[in-house]
Amino acid sequence: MAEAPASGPASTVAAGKSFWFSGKGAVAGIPYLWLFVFFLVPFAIVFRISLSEPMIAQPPYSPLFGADGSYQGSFFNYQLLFDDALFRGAYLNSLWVAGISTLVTLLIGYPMAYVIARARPLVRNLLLMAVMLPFWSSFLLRVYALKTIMADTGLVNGVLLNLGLIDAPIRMLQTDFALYVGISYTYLPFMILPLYATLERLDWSLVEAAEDLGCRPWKAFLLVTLPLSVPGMIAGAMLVFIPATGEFVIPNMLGASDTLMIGRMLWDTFFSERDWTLASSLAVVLLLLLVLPIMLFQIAESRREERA
Amino acid sequence: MSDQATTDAYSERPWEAPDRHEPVVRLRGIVKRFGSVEAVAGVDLDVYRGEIFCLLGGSGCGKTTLLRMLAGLELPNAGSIEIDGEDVTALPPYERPVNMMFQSYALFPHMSVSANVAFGLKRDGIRGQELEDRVSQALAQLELTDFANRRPHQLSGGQRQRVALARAIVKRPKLLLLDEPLGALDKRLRENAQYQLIKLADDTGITMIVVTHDQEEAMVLSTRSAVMDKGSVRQVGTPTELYERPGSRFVGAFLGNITLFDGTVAAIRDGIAELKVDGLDTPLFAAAGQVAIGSRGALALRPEKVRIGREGTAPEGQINRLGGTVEGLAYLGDVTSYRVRTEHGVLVEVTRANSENAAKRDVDWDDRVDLWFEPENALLLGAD
Repeated sequence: MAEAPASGPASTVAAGKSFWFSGKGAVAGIPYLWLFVFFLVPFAIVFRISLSEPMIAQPPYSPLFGADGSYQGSFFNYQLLFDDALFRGAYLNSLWVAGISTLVTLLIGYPMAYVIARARPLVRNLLLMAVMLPFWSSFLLRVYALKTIMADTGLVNGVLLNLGLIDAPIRMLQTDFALYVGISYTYLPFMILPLYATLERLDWSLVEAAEDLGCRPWKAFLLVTLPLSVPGMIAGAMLVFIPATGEFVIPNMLGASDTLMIGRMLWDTFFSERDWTLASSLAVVLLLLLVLPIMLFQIAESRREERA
Repeated sequence: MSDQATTDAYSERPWEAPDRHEPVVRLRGIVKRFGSVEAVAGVDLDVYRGEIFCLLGGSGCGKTTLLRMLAGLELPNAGSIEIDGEDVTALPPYERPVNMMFQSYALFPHMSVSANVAFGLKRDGIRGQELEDRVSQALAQLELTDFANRRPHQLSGGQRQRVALARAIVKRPKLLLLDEPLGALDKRLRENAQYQLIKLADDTGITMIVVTHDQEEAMVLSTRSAVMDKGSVRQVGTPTELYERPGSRFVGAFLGNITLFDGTVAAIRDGIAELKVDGLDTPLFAAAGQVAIGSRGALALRPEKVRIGREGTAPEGQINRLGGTVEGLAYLGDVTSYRVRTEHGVLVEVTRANSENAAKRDVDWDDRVDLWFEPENALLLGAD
């Protein structure tokens, strides 16, 4: 006991010195190095490009510093984004589409996660497997499959026509309906899995206690199960909302050609108009739009943990 | 048991006069199967108003399943459950006049202590001043007033246990079910909680059925207990009856320590049976339970009923006398516990109260000793 105060700080210093060279340091360091090289550095480059103006050169944007060494960068591109209704509309539409898709996946995913969590172990594993099964085939392949299913001459219309329920094929491709079907279908597992994890951990004796105290089953669900599964809903919503906002492939292949989504906008600006600077600022603003909800979520989470 | 029944001068015990009292809980032929396993195999029980009735047994004996069927959380495959004269066999939990305190307490983690307690009352449509009064009364009753606004995770184990209890009694159920109510508490807290529970039963008059695996807890708490094994009730009785007059080897061995001498009944005279013990030349005598002459039986002996002294100190004329060697000795403060191996190889447990300073031992390890006991302090059990 007597030497404890002396050895305390000394060992901390020693641990600090060896941390980055120890095995622990390497395990923690490699992902950070990875993020630094493949996220932070590229982001810095993109941000730097967004401050330039386009010009016909190699690379196709103006240098950040003039020949006399003066700073030439500006937020011109950002000004353009905020002034142009087209871009504003694309951002809002992306958020709207992502929001609706998140809601749809939540409404479909919650009952599925609930059933899986309450199933007996064998059935539960089979159902979980079924949820993850689509990941075993290519994403593009699945979108193409949706395309053939929803085409005018596709499976759905074929069945409906043959049954005599409709006279002419219902147009589904290149509509918002197909867009929502595509996004919801693709991202559903990302909603189900965190919800399942939360519901599976839920102490079912709480629900029994609620029923014992006079709740009918649906009331016990509303008062106990639902509030206690909020963390799972938030986690699932984040996992769906964030990638759905920047989604490019699905709107391009299934959505209407006049659907303005930021992912498509970015692609066109970069590859068709070859305006790297505007495309870069589009990407930076998109990133900020998505980082904001994550940060809000993190703050809410840490507050919740502090209370716990 | 009936020979023990004596009508108390001041209060008649209802189970001793079932023709004059209506049980508040009546179970008849309850059977519950899970797949091919029969968890509860035909249970009949009557529990009377104001009782603390313990379901006592080891894990897997069916006691918790029986409790859950009373709560309506499981439905029996056969049999009927009556509570206060009403058949509730098929009623869902939320329509039964019954509340349960769960083993895990099952407190709602997203609600404060007072919201937890108010939960059940609100479901009955109780609002406003009455709600406030009844919640604060229940909190005061369990010394929780200062914690009303805390969340369950901010409480100690003992406080959580009391919240669970407050939540279960606040609706004034006709029957309170408690699943191992003191199981998660440490020893010192448990003793206090036991007396608190008895006082609560006394103050509120709520009939309680308590599931426990702890025989000591059952003896402290219960008016009567049912000892369960493999889905069946082996014996129902007051703590004294179960301890002093176990009906079977199982019950005898389940409650407290017991030493059994197997043998054949040679004679029965004046309620005292003579047992020819296997491997022993001299017979032993004990109060005859339900055994017949010539049948196999076992003499059951509680550790505190046996006297111990150095060899040759057994009083003259004592008919039950055994010689042996001390194989083990444990000084426990209030008592000293001895393990004595008799000449025919049976290990006898003996406890002796240290009513005098025990520092000077008259009996020590490896000593040759005499054991003796009065016939009426031993019991003869059937062979089962």
